[in-house]
Amino acid sequence: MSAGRPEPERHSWSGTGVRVEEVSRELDRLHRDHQLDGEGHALTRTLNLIVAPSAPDAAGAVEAALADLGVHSPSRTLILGRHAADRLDAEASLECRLSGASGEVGVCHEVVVLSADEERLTHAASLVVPLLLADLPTVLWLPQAGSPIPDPRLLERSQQVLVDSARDGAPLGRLIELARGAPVHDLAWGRLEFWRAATAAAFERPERRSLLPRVSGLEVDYEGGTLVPAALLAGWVAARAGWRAGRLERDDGRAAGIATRPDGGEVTVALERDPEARGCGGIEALTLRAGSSEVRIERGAATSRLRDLFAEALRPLASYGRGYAEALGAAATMMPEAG
Amino acid sequence: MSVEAAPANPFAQDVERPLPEPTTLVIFGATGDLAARKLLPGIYNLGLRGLLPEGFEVIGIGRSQGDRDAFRRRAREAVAEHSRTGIDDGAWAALEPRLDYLRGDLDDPKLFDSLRSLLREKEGDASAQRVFYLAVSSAFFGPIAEALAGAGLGAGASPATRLMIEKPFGHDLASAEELGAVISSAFDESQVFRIDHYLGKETVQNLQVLRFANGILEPIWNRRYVEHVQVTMAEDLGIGHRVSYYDSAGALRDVIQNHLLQLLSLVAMEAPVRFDADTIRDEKVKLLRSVRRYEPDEVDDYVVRGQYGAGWIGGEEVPAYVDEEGVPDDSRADTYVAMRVEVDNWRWAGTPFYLRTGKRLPRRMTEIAVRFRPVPHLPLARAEIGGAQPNEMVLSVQPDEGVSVRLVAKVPGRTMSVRPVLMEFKYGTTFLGDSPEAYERLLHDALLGDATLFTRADEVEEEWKIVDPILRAWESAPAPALYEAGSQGPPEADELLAVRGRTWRQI
Repeated sequence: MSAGRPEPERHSWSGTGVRVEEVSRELDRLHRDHQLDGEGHALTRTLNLIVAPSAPDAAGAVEAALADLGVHSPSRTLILGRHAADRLDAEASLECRLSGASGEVGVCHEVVVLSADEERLTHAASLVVPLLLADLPTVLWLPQAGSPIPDPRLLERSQQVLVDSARDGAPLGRLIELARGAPVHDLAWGRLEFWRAATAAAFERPERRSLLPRVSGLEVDYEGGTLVPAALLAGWVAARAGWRAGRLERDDGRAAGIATRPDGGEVTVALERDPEARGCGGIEALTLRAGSSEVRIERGAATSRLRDLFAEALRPLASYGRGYAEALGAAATMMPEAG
Repeated sequence: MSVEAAPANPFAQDVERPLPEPTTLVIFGATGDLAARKLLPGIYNLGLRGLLPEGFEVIGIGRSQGDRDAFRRRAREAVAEHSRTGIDDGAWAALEPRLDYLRGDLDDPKLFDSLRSLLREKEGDASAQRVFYLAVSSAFFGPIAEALAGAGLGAGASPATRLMIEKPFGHDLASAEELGAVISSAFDESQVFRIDHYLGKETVQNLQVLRFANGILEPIWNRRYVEHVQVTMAEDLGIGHRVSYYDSAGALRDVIQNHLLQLLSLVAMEAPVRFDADTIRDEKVKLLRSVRRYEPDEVDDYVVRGQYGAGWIGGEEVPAYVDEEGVPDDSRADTYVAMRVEVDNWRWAGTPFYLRTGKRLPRRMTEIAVRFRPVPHLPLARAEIGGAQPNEMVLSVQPDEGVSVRLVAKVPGRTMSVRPVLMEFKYGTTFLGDSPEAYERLLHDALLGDATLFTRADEVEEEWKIVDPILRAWESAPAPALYEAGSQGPPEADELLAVRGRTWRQI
């Protein structure tokens, strides 16, 4: 909650045609200057966040997401950018915010933007590794997961890869490929947590579970924009129910097709666009039909703030991605071109 | 396929935070302060986080005039003002239709018939459980529990029911036992969730993880290495609007009997075999049983009570306790208590625990400070050891949650001068995201039926057994010592520690 908090203090520096050691030195200087100003702040001790280069039109989304992280930002964020000049430019800033309540600790975090030419970016790991804070986990954020990673060694230095398949337009097949090489935490998957929990809760009742072997229809109502979250949710239900996913045909905002139950029975799968949808993760409702019976799960009050999604996704827990690979596999079979 | 042969739930395996069963939450005192500041915002934020089940309903019960719409308006205002996340129109729109209101007097038996009818009407056969939250004066706990049982909503009810109550659980041992007997005649112990909101705080929960998941601490967490422990809960505020309760209760009943004895039990208890409700509470009870009970004639040696006089806090002049509105001129209420606790067991015998709480102290803070024994010999010249102090581990509960360890380090330079330095861990700098409020966490746990963070009847009883002899001794003791508002408390409290150079940590 930002209401009532004072505006953050910012100390910054920028340089053109710089070396990485210089960036490191300037960051130290920003800290010293800040301390000399008599301000007592602690540097956040959360993680290193590396942001892979993105197209100029995606940069705004990156900036907005980082701003939303606010006081909960990672300790050091290293944003890689691409430019035409044959040199490394850098902007470093130290942002410190006093807490709203007296006595609470004030925290600082650092943001470094490194802009480089294509060739330097193919060695991006050599740019960022000297700037990583020791003993903290490192997360690589791919704002456009569909684009190639300029230096694969960035993956080696990262404990997690962060993507948002609902926003970045990467084909689902590409996400499967990524997930083979590193633990992928997909924000779209995080947004679906409510739906997974609600579906599990709905099937806690034995009389509902007894419907599962007879389910003949699955419908997911989703908001406009992208149907990736709907495909992921449908894929997850299909995978966990043991159905063999089939390809869905798209017709405007609708996608429909057939999945096959273990007993050979058919399940009609439909993703229906609902322009009025406001539910968590872009989903309005999930309906399973078995004969005349129906299990319908509707959105509650659940919402998903980007800051909370990041907080969840950045936890080094394997449980975050539980079920993701299966959901992604089924979703990619249903909608190979989705993204 | 028959219901009996239903397959296992294939969706449950991917859910880290399961949803509670469909629930109707009935709040007695729904138009009161606790509901407005904590419960309604807590419910709203649970909804916002997607932690409320399908089929979640709230029935607010209050004496205030007004209907369902008025209650909804009041609830919206409360959420807008007190929710840690503000208010989102979409999320509120989803929650609002779930709120209902029933007006009535708590001592009117017809109220409970109306409640039963309303429950049936709202739920049909949908609700799997009903939770009754008594956000009312503790004087109503017994009568409401009995009335609920009389209406078929107590022990053995179907759908299942739970009762949530918050201290005070009695005024002394006898009244606590009396209340316990009434509650247990109406509800099974497994249905009763007694709130000590301190147990919902992250640092308090972290205490167990810190102690039992860090191998380096266990070998030194005992009488051999710990010189003494100080547990402090200080408030800068006065009594506010709580005069009628506070003047007859005092700090010993209000804070020591519950919050501080809970913190003591968590700091000092043995490792539980598992992190489950009854295993942890068994260990806490065992620890409380090993706390020495003082004879009335010993109380003066171990316990100091005080009452604040006028003074200055935060640049504001504040009145003496007896000059607060509604306080009798001759009040003997304790607004400050410091006590030395002896834990007579193998681990702690001879290591005192000092508990301290007070109002109108210089600032608001709660902490547990573990002071370790000094090294047996310092190989430094006498002139150089001035800055060497024994190691100390401080667990800060509020306002700045975290842990710090005090070490001794060499001051850079040619001489071997030393001074204390801190190694610090602060929640606010280390974890992303906001922590839920204590009530939010506790409500969620109660909806899930997880009693780990709630106090069991035998814990409450043991706490009263520790406090009761002190209360009896005070009945014939002189008035509490006066201390100036904004000071560290009465000077008499310093004498409690005045052995081996012990002093209180500064508030």
